Amino acid sequence: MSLTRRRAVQMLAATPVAALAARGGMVDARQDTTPVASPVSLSYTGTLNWYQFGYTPGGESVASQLADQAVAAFQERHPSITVNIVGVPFEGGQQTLDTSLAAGGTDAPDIFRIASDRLVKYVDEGLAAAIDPYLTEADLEDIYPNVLAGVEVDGQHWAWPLWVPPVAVYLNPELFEAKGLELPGDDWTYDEFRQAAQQLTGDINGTQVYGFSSAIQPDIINVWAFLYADGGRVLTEDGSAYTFDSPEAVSGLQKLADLALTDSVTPPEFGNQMLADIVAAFKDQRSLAMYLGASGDIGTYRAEDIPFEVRPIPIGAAGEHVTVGGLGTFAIRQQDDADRLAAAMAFGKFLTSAEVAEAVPGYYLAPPARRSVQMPEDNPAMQKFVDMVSYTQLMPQTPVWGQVSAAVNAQIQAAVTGALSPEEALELAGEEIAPLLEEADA
Amino acid sequence: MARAVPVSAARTGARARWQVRWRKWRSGYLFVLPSMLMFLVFLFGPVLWSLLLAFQDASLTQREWIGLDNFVGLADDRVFRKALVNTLIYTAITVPVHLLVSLILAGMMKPLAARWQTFFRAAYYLPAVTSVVILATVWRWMFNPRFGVFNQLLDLGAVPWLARPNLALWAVIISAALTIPAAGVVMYSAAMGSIPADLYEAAGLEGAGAVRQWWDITVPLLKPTTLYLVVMYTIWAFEVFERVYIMTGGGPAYATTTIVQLIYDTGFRDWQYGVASAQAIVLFVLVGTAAAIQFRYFRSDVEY
Amino acid sequence: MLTTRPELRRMNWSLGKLVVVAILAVTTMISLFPLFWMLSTAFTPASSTIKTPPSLIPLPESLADPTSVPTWVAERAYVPTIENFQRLIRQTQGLVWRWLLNSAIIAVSITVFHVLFDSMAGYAFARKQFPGRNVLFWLLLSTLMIPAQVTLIPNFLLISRMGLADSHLGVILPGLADVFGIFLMRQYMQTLPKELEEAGRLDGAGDWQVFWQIVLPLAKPAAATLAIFMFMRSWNNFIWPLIVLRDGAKYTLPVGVATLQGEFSTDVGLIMAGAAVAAVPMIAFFLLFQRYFLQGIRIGALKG
Repeated sequence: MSLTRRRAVQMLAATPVAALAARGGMVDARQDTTPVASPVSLSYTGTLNWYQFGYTPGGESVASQLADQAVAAFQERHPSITVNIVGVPFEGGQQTLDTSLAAGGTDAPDIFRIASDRLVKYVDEGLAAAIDPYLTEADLEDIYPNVLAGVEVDGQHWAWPLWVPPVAVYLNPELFEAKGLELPGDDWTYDEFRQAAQQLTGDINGTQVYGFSSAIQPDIINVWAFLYADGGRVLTEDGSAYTFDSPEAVSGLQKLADLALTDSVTPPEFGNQMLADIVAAFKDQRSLAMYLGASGDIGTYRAEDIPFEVRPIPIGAAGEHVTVGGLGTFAIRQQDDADRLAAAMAFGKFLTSAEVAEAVPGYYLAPPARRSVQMPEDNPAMQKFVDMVSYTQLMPQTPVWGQVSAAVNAQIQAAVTGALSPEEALELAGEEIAPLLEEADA
Repeated sequence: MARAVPVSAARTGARARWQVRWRKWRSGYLFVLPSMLMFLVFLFGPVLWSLLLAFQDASLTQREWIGLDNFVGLADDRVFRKALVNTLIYTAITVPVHLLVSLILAGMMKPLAARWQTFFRAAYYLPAVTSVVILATVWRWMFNPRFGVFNQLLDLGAVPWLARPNLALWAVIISAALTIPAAGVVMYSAAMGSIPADLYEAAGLEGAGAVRQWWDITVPLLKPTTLYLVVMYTIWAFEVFERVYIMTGGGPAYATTTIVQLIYDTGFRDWQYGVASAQAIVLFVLVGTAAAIQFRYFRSDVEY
Repeated sequence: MLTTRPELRRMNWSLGKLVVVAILAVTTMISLFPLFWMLSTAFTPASSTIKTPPSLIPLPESLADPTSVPTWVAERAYVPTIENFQRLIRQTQGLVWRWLLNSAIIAVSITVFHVLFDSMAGYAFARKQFPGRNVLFWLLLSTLMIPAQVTLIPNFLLISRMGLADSHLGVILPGLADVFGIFLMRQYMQTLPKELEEAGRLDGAGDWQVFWQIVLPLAKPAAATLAIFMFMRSWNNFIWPLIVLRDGAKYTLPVGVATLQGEFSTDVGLIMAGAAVAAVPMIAFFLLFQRYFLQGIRIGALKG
């Protein structure tokens, strides 16, 4: 059987949270790169293999050009090093990467992109190298503390944090206007959100509009923002126990289920509506007033001139801003050649630095992991996402994250379609997850 | 049938008899040799390797023998049982439908003029150039509650087929059943083409009607093809994955999760290669049992 | 309804025939729809989402003014453009032609090998007697029932150790270890009358001559079916070439097109254009080989 499903998913359905980050559409026209003398001198002469998702060799796509420019800038600083970019597609590319890492050898990846929620698996297998020896005081101050914690396993840090795409609410301002509603402020509450969703549902200019929707798929955690906003957390901080059966989490899921089952402000297919369908409803059919998305959709809307607004997740029972998000990182393969390792570390640091943002205009497609990175000022929506980074909850490290995420989402689907009560659903997910966590701990 | 022959006998005649036999067998071995070489290296080895994994706690780079633990774990696994049931229901319905549709369409095409046969065969088979991804996307749209053709044609209102745990699997089965089984039509029509026309002529002279001829001549003579198709469609149905994945993502609430989706996730997402192999073995036993039964019932004992 | 040629001539344009033609026509439309949809999307101006309901009616620009056509047409109309194809070529800097060639080299190599050696092995399994025949056949058949996912990693390790990673040979070799062609040929060969082979043998033909001059020509319809299946299978194969190949210039078309997929956005038009380009050789291959389907034998004719 040919496995084209990942392509399908990428194409039709989802931006997996694993790769949840954003093309901000802020490719500057500026092309002058200002070479900066590198502080580190590297004794390695040779090739580094960079396995990069979505890179088309010689391609004209934004992602390919950004990668080429970043490599050029790095090679300029370190002329003895040649970076060989191996492009792997988002669909299925993870398998290419994993099999190459397992096979090892000189062609194996030296540096590769990885979502922080998968990182611990690579650490357990000895495939990732700790970055701590290369992490300076300046780095520690520069990287957001919650983000740095996102790459921590057993007291050490295992990857260079690149960017953090938080989940927020996208709004269609035209539909607000058609209903005579004011756009909400950034500090809006769940009740204000719910009211708006109710008022926006109904016929607007001949189209049946729904107030709210969101994708619920095995690897997409967008709706968890509601559970987090009420104080729920999926696991304990160390990832050792399941806690989504807490009253706080149940209350958050109840709110989500109410939107669908009591208020009917969600489209009939809510529960199994895919990300791509939601974006289409928002921008093509104009039949969706608000939805949960990460910063990635900004690029699409800016490119197609679609009016949109971004607001933080409405404040819930926790009484403060909270959201969930993914974390994109660069990991370095553990290897015996110390010089090569040091060179790969330097490259990883460069690819996640403020320096690369200066050398390659428009490099950051999602909110950067470092405070020092200057983002272009002409993108207010992206700025809103950048402001959310400091309170974004990243997912805890556990080797069974894939199963945890899939189990929780399956039961959330059951709750929002009315098959189970929120309490039953979250308990059932816990029954599935608890033995997995126990086994992972052993 | 052919048994290994003891070579111990050292009588003079035995050697000659052995040589005669060998000469008879030799060509069989030579004919299968080129394929076997490939299988030896690229199929049996890897398959054996992965079967052994089922008895190990195996991740990407590490493994350790744990006996039957993986199988024991599967027995308690609610999601695996659900996937098993989903896959069985899907197979039990789609395989007979596909066979029947193939047989009927191929039969309908048979009396047509050659160029029309060509046309229909092309029309059924060419869509195979579009991937399952595209096919499933079209079906996803057909089942869209608001814009989908399905609700509109049947005047059902906004039924969210793919978002209800009790409907989603049926939507997937309907989509599969309504997809023209191109391989079946093509193979049946190729096989029908090689049934000697004089058989029908003889039957016609004896006064057998069209349906009688169909049942007495066509269907029995197609048995080898039927066996091939029933086995292949069963294997394909048991391994259904992409169609379901694109239409529903396996949800809602595991309503459409299939075994191969679990194998894929367990292996490539979770790196639990031992568990994935154990799941594959369960699937293997199921398909193998089904195939063994099918071989019994569709045994080709027809001779001209 | 299901009947032979002479009888059909009698019931020319009877009600029965109309029903048959109607059923065939409707199923043809169902079948061709996804292909039509893929082409429409490939020629629709760029978008990041699949339109729901889809735009399926191509209108020249002069007619595209919404006031000049009925609303239901305007809602589903689009102005065809080749912009997606131009972007496909530009964005890959012409590599797309290279990918096309790579896919062709790989698919043709695999197809040629299978048609020849699967026919030989299928013939041996259908007709030859030799010890271990049934065991071997069942062993082969059972590998069909193991999901392909479980052999990916061992095969990759094997290929790397043979120094064939990142080479076309590394893609081709494991593709040769594919059982389903043998099964197909065996089943077909069982339907062939034995008399012709026996006649050939009486005329003094050797095993190879009987196979090459008598059996293979008789098996043309099945060989053509196999060729088409195999070509499409290897042409569409995605995951294996993806794992083996690293150098962008060596990619196959499906792998190359997949790299065009962005991290945060989808260019549906570009991907459908890639799918459309990939479909052309498969359609050509089908049309080239499908004529052999009709060359079924007529034993009476041969006897006479």
